[in-house]
Amino acid sequence: MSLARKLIWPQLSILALIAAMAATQWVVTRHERFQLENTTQRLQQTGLRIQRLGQLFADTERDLLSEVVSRQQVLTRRINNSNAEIDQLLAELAATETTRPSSTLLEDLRRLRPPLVEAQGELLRARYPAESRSAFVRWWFLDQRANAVLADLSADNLKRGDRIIAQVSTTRRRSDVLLLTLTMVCALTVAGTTFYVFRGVVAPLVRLTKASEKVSEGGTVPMLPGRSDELGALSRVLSETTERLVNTNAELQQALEVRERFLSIAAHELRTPLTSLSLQLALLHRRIEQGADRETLRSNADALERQAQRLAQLVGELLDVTRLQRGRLDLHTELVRLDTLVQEVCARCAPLLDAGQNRLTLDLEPEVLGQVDPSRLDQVLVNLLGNAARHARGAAIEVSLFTTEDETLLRVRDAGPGIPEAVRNRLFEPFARAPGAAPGLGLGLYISREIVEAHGGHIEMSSARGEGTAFTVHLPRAARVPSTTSSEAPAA
Amino acid sequence: MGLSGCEQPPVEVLRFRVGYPDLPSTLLLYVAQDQRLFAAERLQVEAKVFTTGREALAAAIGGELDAAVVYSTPMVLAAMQGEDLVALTTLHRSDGLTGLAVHPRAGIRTGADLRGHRIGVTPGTSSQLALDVVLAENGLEPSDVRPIAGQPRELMAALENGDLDAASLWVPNLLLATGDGKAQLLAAKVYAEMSMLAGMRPRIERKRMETRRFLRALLQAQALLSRRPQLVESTLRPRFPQLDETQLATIIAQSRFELGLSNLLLSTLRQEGAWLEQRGEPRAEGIRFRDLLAPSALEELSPESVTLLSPPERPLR
Repeated sequence: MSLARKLIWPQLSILALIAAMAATQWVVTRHERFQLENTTQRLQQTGLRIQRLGQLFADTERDLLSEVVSRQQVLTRRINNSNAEIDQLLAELAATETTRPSSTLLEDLRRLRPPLVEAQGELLRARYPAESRSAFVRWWFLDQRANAVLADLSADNLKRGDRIIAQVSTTRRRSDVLLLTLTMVCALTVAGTTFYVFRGVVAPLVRLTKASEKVSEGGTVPMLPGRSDELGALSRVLSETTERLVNTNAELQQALEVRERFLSIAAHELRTPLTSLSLQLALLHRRIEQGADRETLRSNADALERQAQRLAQLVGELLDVTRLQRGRLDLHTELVRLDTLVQEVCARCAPLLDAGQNRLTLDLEPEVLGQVDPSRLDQVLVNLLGNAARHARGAAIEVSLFTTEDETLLRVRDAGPGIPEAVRNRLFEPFARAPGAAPGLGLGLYISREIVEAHGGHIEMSSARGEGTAFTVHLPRAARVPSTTSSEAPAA
Repeated sequence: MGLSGCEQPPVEVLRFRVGYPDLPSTLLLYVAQDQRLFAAERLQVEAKVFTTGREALAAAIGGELDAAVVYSTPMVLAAMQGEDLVALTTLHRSDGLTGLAVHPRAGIRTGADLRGHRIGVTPGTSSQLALDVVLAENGLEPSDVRPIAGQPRELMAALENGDLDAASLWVPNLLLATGDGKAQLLAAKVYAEMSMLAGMRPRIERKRMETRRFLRALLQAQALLSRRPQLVESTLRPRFPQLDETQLATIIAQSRFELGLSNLLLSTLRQEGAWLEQRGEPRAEGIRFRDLLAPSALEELSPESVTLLSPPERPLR
């Protein structure tokens, strides 16, 4: 679910809940109010009718007794009118009052009416005291009962009024309970949604913020598990970015360390021939002042030249490293006879091998062509022979060149003591030097590997303690030179 | 009619002793017994049948019963004698079911012909009041006739033998004594009967819980009758096998079996009290008929059954 939905959904839920609650409250209140209004109206009407009945009963009693005494016909008419109105009111009440006990009371009252009216008539018609007395007894009994039933009817109506008041109170209480419930439900919903938003949005943001603050100390921002929303995407991006940043920092740190080591070694390595050069120059000056002979001066000049060459070599290696690290090693490849190239390099390195008392044997497959930069391959081979002469003094060295179906292989094998195991893994790293190694920048194998790889090949090393070391250069194989071309190739 | 006070069924079984005359007006009590409504209320009712309500009331006054089913006249008479009675509810009301059974050869056609005749009456009961009303309706005084006192069955036998010219009776005896070839009915046109459940105030106050359960069972009987009107006949028929269908139908048609405390009851008690006082019955000082009514118990269970305009000044404690 997206973050927007997560934030909007609770709000919509609360709004929907409030709307539903308000609608419920409105419907319930309206329904109950409607019922109450109807009942109250009916009660009022019944009350008014009962009140009017009571008036009529009282008027009739008064008029009847007055008429019996005074014998005025007008009173009889009034009694008759009252009786008609009473019957009409009773009929109206009977039509509206259908529930017990009102309905049974009305029935009692209506059953009492005929004998009561009859007793009234007898009383009005009586002319003798005995007649009047017996008619009065009958009327009195019935009239008392009718009044009592009317009182019951009135009491029932009043009670219903009380019940309405109680119902209003109940309705209000129910409404209060409903409102309280709604408020609590709303509060719980708000609390729930707040917790939901806090847990789903705020808490992850706090975690991301805290993790981000530690990025400067080398920490990374963790990914939020199980989230596919915007926060999940953000955490994923932040996590990947910070991881990259950390890796880059580590690489930079490593590069910085390499550079510092490089500068330290370079300064040290450059200072040695420079010091030697400076001393040779001072010696040359002194010998010239002393009038030294020509042979002595030449010897000094040779030494100066060697130191200068050494300096040139060191500077060349440093330049190569710089180029390699910037990816600017330019190769000028051409089709070259590799067997010839190997022979020339070996011949040129003969003094070096002589100095190391190494016996060199060549095993070269004839007429092997390669699409290579001859000067760079020359550099590789010189480096490998130089390493063999330095680390395997007095040992036999074999240089072989042969081809397979796909590759041309150039191998330099010595029968020296072998390379210690601890050094083998970082032999091709820049500034890697074996313990007790001769002075140097430790860049030879690194540069050689980069040159070979720039040619599309690779270089591998095998070494065993006391059994010597072999470096094999693998190069992509070029087409074999036709025999005419072979005869034109430079001789070894 | 709804019952208020929805309570859990009571656990403890209580006892309640009630006395009543074996009359159709006792229908609600019969229904409650037949339908085991008292048992459902965990109330063990010990019922005792009396010849008249007056005797049942006397037993209640004597402490033999917790309550009695009685008509208005004995109740008024006992109250006028100063007994501390309360009416808990009416059980029925009816019109024209108390009156005179006139011997066919007594020469009595109207009430006015009663003068000088031997008329059987059960003193202190509605029989006496009904006779008084008939006499008054016809312009006669009690002294204008020769009253003969006796129990209803004695009066019926005397009437049949011709020892009486007329007898003031109530149902079912009134209907059994009259008919073709028998006595003629001469009913009071204005007399109405009301029976009620009454007891001595202190005892009712002590038996509050029992009274409450008894009333609740009666209310349930009333509700049952309202739902199943055929129960009226099926309950009365086996109890009054001597009544034929017409007689039973007459009783049912002229009766209303409802609980209640109304102004009509109060008016009846006052009316009868005034009448009896006028006839020379002694009346104790400070008797207020309104205080004979104890509406609280019934009102608590069924508020709509009580329609008194003003409450009693001595409610039940």
